[in-house]
Amino acid sequence: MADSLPIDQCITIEFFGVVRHVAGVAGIQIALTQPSMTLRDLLQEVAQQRPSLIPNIVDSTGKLHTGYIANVNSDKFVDDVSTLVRCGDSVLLMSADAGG
Amino acid sequence: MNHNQTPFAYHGSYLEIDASLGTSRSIPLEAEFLRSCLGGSGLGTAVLLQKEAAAIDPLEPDAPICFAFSPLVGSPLTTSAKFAVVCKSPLTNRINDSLASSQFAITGKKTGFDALVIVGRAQELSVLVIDDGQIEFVPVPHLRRVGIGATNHWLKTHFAADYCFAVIGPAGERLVRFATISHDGRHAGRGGAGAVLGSKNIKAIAVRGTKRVAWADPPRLNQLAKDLSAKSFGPATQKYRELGTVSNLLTFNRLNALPTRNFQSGSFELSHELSPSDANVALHKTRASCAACTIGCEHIFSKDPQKPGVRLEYESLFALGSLCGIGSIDAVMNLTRTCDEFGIDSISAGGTIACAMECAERGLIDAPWLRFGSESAATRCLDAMNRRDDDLGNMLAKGSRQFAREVGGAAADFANHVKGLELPGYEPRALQTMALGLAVGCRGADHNRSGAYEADFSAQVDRKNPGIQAARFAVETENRAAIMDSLILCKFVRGVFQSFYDECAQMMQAATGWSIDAFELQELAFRIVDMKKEFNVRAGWTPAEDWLPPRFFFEPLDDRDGTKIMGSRLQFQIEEYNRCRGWNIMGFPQNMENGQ
Repeated sequence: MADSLPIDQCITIEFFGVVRHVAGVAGIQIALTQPSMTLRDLLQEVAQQRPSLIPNIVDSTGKLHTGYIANVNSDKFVDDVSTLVRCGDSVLLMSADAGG
Repeated sequence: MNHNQTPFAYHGSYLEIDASLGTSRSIPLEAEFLRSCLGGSGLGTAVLLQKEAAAIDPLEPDAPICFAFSPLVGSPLTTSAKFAVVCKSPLTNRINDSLASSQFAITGKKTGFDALVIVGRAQELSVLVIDDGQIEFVPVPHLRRVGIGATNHWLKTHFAADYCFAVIGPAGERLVRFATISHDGRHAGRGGAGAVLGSKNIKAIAVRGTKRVAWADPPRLNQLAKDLSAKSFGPATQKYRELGTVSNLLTFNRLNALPTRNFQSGSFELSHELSPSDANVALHKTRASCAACTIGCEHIFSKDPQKPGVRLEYESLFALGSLCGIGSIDAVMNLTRTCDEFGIDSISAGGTIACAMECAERGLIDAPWLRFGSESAATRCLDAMNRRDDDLGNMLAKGSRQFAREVGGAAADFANHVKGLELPGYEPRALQTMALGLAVGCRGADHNRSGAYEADFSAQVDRKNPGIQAARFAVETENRAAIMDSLILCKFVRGVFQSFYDECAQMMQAATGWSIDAFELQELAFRIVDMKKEFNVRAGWTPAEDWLPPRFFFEPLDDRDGTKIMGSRLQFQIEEYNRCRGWNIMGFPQNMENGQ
């Protein structure tokens, strides 16, 4: 993933597994004009930039399909799309199923 | 019941074969007994308890090994072509139930029995032939030390086309304690069932048959099968269909959950070189399915499309890759192929080699060639453990726990196992609900009997501090696994169910005609885990076995927080887990406090 935006002005989205396979890239950056945004708004932005993710992974309203999950800063998994994510955060999108 | 009182979906008996005498007899299985344990893991464990197998050395002739079929195998339900191999593990000396998917399950049940139980020891290396319930031992001395591929080739050219085979490699013959049993390229892999079969001088089992069970409600069963197949094409299985389990590698690496260099790290700087999608190696990929499966999770890779490929799974990638510090997918493919050919469990092989590498790097053994990152060293170790003709190979062939005991000194600190079974590719410090599941598992450290990682990969818990609720998640996922392993259905469909127990009960109703409901299945899940624990207690289990290796308590993970596992918290979770199971605080089932 090419880093083109200053890290403190954007949110980095990293794709893993099927999400990456469908998106066709390892990740993208979303520029922010305010310090934070909801996960729902972020996912809507992601879906606009990578329409191939709609509808099986992200729907047009910014909800993740039940087979997928988001993680903020490789720390906490979140399913509440009202969660605020902030400039400088990394949001990981991946399959919820970790079976191996 | 059908006309002769045999329950639908079952034959109502198992075949007991005495390899010493070359005889067999049919043992009836009452409907009530079958309903109390279902099939697969449950049936196999129940039969082993009846035969008091817990008290027998697993490599002695008297030790039974049970190939347990299931009520759903042979039905049109997707992923139901599975069976369980249940025995006392020579690696752990505890209960071992290894599952595999293949036509062997369908054909084995058509021999006319719900299970095949083998005791004794053949006079010479033989193929056990079971043809519609008639048995024969065919001596095959020329197959001694022959690998899995060549053995299968010989069997397929010397038996009729309608036979199916279960085969051990040279590692099973030499009693490597984590030897596998192979079927159509799939493996009953963990815990050393291959060594138990090897101890009976049985190189292979050949089955064929014509006996089909009756189904209670075929139209209903067909409809349920159509529904399940349709759901198996949905997003819940997309990972397995599109990419296979290998896609876990980069995800786990990013979450510091990828065991690296014998669990010294949770991330691997060369992980991208192990990922089929990222590696700097041109790979050809084909897909395949197990028998009667609509998912098709098998992703077979090769550098040269003209040559046979290697089925890669996440567990092999981690165990023979990052765990040994090896950052080359080409190397892991070679090592995986070697394990498949010898008939060796790749997880335990990788775990034992990684333990040896760390012992060598720390000067505990004199082996300057044995270093993390060396494919040649890993290959040499695999050869040595398969041959068992020198001290190192003989030590490696016993698994990491015994290897460390024989090295002595601090080596035990670097043997990452639970109950003797090497850990799978889930870093316990990064996934602490799973840490509990690994600690308490009856089979040992295992990702197929405990799916507690599902909670860690959710918003329901803080994966590095899951608290007391970890116990509930560990019990719930273990119970679901117990039912899936007994029905049997592949765990890769577990995500498609809206109401797991209700939907499984509907399948059982249609197959058996029993008025079984979700509540009864939930009770049975507890009962099946109880039976496994009872086996272990009878085999000498003590509460101290339900614990994790020392590294995870004393060495911080290389994540932002330097995460460790807090021993007092794990102890509290274990006590809560025991309480949820209805066991006493130490983990003994009711009326077994003194081990009886």
